[in-house]
Amino acid sequence: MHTDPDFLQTLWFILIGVLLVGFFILEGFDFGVGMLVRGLGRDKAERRALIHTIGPVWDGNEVWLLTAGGATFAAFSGWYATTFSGFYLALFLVLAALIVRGVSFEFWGKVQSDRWSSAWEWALCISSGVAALLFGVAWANFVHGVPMGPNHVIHASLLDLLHPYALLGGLVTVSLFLSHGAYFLTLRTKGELAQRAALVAHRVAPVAAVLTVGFLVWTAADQSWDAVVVVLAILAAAAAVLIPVALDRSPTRAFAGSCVAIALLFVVLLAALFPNAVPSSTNHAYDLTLVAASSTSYTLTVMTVVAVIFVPIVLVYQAWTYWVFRHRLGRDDFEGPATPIAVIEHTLGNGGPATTGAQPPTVV
Amino acid sequence: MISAYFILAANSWMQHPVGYVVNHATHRAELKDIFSVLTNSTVLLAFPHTIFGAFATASMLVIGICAFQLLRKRGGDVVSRSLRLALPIGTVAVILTMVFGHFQGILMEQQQPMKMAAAEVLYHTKKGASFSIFATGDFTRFPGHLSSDLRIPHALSILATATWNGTVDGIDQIQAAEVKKYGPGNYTPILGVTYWTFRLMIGAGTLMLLLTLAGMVLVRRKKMDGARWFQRLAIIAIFLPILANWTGWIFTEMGRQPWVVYGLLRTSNARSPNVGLGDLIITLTGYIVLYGILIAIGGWLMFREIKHGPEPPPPPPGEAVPDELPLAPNPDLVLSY
Repeated sequence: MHTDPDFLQTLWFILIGVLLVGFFILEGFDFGVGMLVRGLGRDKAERRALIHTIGPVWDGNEVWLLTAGGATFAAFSGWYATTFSGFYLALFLVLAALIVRGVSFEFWGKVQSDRWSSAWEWALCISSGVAALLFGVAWANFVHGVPMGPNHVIHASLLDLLHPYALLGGLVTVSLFLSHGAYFLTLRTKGELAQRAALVAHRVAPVAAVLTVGFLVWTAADQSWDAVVVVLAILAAAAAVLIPVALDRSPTRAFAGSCVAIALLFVVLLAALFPNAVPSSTNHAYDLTLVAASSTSYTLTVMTVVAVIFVPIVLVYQAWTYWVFRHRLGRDDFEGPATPIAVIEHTLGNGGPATTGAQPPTVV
Repeated sequence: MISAYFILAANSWMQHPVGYVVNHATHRAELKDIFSVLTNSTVLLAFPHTIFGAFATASMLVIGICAFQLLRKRGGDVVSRSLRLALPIGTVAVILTMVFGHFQGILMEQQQPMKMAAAEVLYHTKKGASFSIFATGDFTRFPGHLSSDLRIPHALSILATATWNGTVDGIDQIQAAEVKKYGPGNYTPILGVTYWTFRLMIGAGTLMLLLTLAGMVLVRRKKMDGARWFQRLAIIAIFLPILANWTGWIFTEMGRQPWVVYGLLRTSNARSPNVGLGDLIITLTGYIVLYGILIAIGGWLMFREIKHGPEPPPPPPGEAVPDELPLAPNPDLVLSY
């Protein structure tokens, strides 16, 4: 029964892993920036600058999650079916958080009133934190296993998913994404804002490192000290510890280190999962394996052809978005109503303050 | 448009599964030929029907906003040019939506005869079947007759078979045939829903067509600015395509019941055994509340932006810039975050 995954199944497990790691690196910093909007921005111009650092890219980042979900649905339909119905209410909470987050960017600037914009800043802040927490809780559960019988039907209430290991996983993602977002801001902002972001990163990163190391040790123990998991966990722990200790003087290296730490954390979790899709905490005989969850090799071949054609195109235009919106932002860029296009014109030096319409630049 | 195509290809597979083999060991349908899924006859008609429906929706919104500006005497170059663009596009889009819908009806009579019979509540197979416009009754099985019924002779035969005296299968005959094919069970959808959604969809489409045609006549005769009756109706008509989209989708999904994949998988077998009624009530309430709030806020923001109107054109060069702008200098915040 326990046959090993074949080449295409392994390939698609790795590709889904790549999509998830990409999602957590990219959306990780915009979750972090979202959580920091209220704490870091002292006035409306600063908060506008913070929102603008991720405004043009956050939705592209979220597409990585959609693609990972879609790829799971197509390549391992049994995996998708088991987790999406088994985590029904948890998934609803994730969706609600992501929906509120998505509209808070859009609604934020539509009405010129301090109460309006601060309400949406809080919505962005809270929904980013909730989403970051839930992703950590979910992944800890995926890897630890859930109560599941031989029919691959999960029987767990929402409260069953909130055990200490899962909650620690949630705290790990919240703290890692928070420091990741702060490092991102040290690269994307200037002046006082960048200094304050560096200070936050300096304070949060050690906490994140401690939590991550604790979670990795627990994961290794939970996986019965499996050799591959232990080796990868040591690397991930090293990366998490090294960021605040050695790399704090160069923001670029700190951000790169933070990317590596997040990537390795999820590589550990994915390695612990393989070759299962959903382990059962009831009895390991009931584990849902990748082989059992997989689509046919014809479907996987079609998907491979499509991915080879379209993934490079998507990567190129996402990279282009980052290149277009690469300029550092500060409060002086945002002392008036501004559109992303106007900000680019301003930072490139073509013309005056980044304002639109007939509104004179005013301090908001 | 590309994403719409793939979404509709997936939905069309549920209406009319093709390009698969059933693996009896795993009890699942497995993809055999992706190209026959992508060229399913059902999606080839569902796609233009949906896309032209989307063009019609957008046109009715533009027409409605223009009418609103005219009603407030804020008409101008932007409004009249938008109307001259949206009215013909809307007319063509509605007509094409109807044409492809008609071909879908003919295909449906072949692929899902029960859905067509349920749309009409036609109990007995009939040649030269008429089309009911409005009826009351309880739509239960064997009511004998509907208590009031307004009918167009031969129209159903034309809709379903494109011939004057074509045979349209009745619910009772199809029910018996499906019992023979799939085993005992009730293969009839909820008739009150299929009957009324089908009529509301077609009715909304017909009203849209009448309105856009009237609008084109008014523009041609240069009477649009004073036609307050049209302006008022056009604002209400923004909701007609939304009604048609809703009822069309409810019809095609509810009309397929009791199947989730027609002929292959029953809805009762497709449900998740670990998702209970309580879970469904929680999420359904949650989504309704969340989306209700978002619709209210989004609608309010759209209405604000519509009232704000288009930016005034810049004064021509050489002319003195007026001291005060005619509109309040409220910045256009569409792009801003």
